[in-house]
Amino acid sequence: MPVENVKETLDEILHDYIPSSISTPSEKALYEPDTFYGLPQKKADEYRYGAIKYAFRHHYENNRFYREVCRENGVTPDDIRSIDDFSRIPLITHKFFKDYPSGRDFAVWLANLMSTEVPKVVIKGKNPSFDDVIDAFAEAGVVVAFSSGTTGKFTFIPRDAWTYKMGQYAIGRSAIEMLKHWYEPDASGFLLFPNPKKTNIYVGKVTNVMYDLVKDVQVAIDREITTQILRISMGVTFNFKEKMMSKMIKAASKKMNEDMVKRMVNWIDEMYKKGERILFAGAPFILNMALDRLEEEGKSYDFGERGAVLTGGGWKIHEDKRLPVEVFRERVGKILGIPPENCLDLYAMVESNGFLVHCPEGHYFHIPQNYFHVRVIDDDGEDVAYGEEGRFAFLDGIAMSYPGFISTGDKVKIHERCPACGREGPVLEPEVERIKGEEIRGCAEEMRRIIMEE
Amino acid sequence: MFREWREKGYIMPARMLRVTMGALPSLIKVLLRHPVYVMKSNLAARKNAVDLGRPSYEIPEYVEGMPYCKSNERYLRPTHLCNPHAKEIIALANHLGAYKLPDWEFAENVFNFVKKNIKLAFVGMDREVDTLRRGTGTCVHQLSLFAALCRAGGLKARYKLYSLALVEPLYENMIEVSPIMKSWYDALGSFMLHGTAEVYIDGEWVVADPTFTPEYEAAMGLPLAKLGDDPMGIWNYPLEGTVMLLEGLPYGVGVAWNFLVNFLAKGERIKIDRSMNEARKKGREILDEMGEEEYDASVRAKYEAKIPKITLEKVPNLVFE
Ligand SMILES: [Zn+2]
Repeated sequence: MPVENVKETLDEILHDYIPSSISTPSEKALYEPDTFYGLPQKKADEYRYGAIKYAFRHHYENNRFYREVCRENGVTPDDIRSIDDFSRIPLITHKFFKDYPSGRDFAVWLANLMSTEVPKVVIKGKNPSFDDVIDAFAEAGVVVAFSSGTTGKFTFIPRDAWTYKMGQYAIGRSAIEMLKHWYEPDASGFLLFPNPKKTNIYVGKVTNVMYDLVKDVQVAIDREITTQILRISMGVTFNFKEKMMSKMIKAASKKMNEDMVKRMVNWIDEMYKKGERILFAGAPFILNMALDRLEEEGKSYDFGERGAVLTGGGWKIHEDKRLPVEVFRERVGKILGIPPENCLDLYAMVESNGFLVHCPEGHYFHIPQNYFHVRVIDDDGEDVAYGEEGRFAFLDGIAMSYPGFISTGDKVKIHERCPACGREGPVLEPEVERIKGEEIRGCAEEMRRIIMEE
Repeated sequence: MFREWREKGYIMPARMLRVTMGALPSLIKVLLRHPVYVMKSNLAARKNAVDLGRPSYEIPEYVEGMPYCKSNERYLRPTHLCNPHAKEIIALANHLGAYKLPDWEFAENVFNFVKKNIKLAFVGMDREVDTLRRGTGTCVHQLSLFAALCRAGGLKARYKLYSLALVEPLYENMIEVSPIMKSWYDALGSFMLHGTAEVYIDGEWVVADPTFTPEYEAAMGLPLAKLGDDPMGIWNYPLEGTVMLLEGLPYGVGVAWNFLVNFLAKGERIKIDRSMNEARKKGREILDEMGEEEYDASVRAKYEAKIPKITLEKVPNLVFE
């Protein structure tokens, strides 16, 4: 039987992600509400206002770099007196996080970016690589997650234990709330992403909590992924040695992919026979590979409401081909028998700790309004009207270790409320695009290139 | 001699070979996939060429005995498609203040001349004087002209080439107007090659990007580039690991390019040239209305605020061993 009360159940399961005393407005906004998507607007506004005002003051007071940005914009925390004032909080362009130095300076850059105390980090060697620095920070309890676009530039975001735990709790609550009609803790999961224990690539790292949410987790991509391997996979090599590595990775991919598809197909079969509840979570194109195989073999299943699919990371399946979300849902329905209301997409990115999830009723992206404020802005940084398209920007009320007030390279369309369900607050259209000319990015694109054979 | 060849960059550096060769297969793929479209586009181009007009300047007359730099030092001597000893180049360099003005002022005059007068157009590779006579050229043409004029006036100059990703307005204006270009760009996620020049003044290499005329910059909402402004992060994002500094262009750099723009994809090239020309007209209106200085000041302020600078302060808890 699906769980009665998501918050109660998850608070028990995720107790490691909850601090012993919930004291700051950010913590209250995250841990107190019974629901992330179903709060009455007034209550959601109260929590969000508290969290973001608190976060803004925190970064203003503890982050020299961000304080300087605020000074240039002539804004102080005292200027933020209501949600209407949120548009005055200076946004940092996502490009800023790509503008990092290398070697030892990279470590200094990360440390300067942080708004929480930098623990003692020991870095060895005269010219440490990005991976060396990331490992050194990990040793000290700071998760430096990364993501890469097609130019081979990374985005690096440092999360201290506090921020990382809040983010993990948030994605757990967000995903399960929209899938509560399906959820049971003794379900089994298949992660269509890299193993979070073996990488700091964001799509991997962010799904760590899945090991707590379900009883058993299989992983599609079970290899170590460093910044070097990711960059090489994105097609950016610096020397002959890397060129060779690229060839080797591609050559190995064929066998690994075959193995991956086989494991998925066998798992589906096994789970079906045992009558298990299952969850696929991750890049849609990877599940699509298994669906292709099942179709070739003429197999189909009828998991019905026992199955769920939670996708994320974008919909590109080939160099110039997108997989339409609806087509994907239809295939999932046809081949696995999983109904569309159990097949949801989650929108997230390395820079944020806010997880927008499709509602089962209409597949619009809902915002966890209790701590996360979305702005959709035009070229001048002004909010667009409801029904209009613009650049996705956000104010993150639970990013403590870095200022999470960021404008992104994604294009979204915002509506005042969901056309399909009764949940309050604005929603985004079911599909997100890149702003033209912004480098192609997206976790699924990273995954696609990592396992690309050719 | 081999060393000189290598220094001058006559032999294509491995990195450049990789950048260009790596980009070509996806272009060829795109072209092969749409043969009818390409043919139609080329036919249409023949009937409907784009007219960029005559240059708006006169090339000053060369007078025997005009001073110019005859040095064979690196970055001063002639290189492929960049000849500072050409008469028209010497005459223009003198006209722009070579050997009369302080180095910075001379370089600034050269920069402004190339920037304001040479319109960006995707023509085949040719010599610096061809660019000067025609008044149009790609960024690489313009760099060659800039470098030749600087070198003629005794200032060292070199090329800095890289692959890049473009900002949205440029993508819309240059890439999206050609479906072929668009497929190519989208497949690579970047544009094959762009460059800026660098000129050596007072012991420092100063970056110069004369690619766009002010009209085009205004149409794209970009600040009006000055000598010393680096376009990286303003309108382009270089691909990691593709930046190369060269004294000169390699031989053969133009072969594939010329085949492409003069023959294979001439129609697409004309579409892009036309789109850029239309944009320049709109940009002229913007500048006339606002005034160049006012326009630049307002846009520049917006851009400077865009990517904040972080100062790397020492953090006591970071220990380097
Ligand atoms: Zn809804």
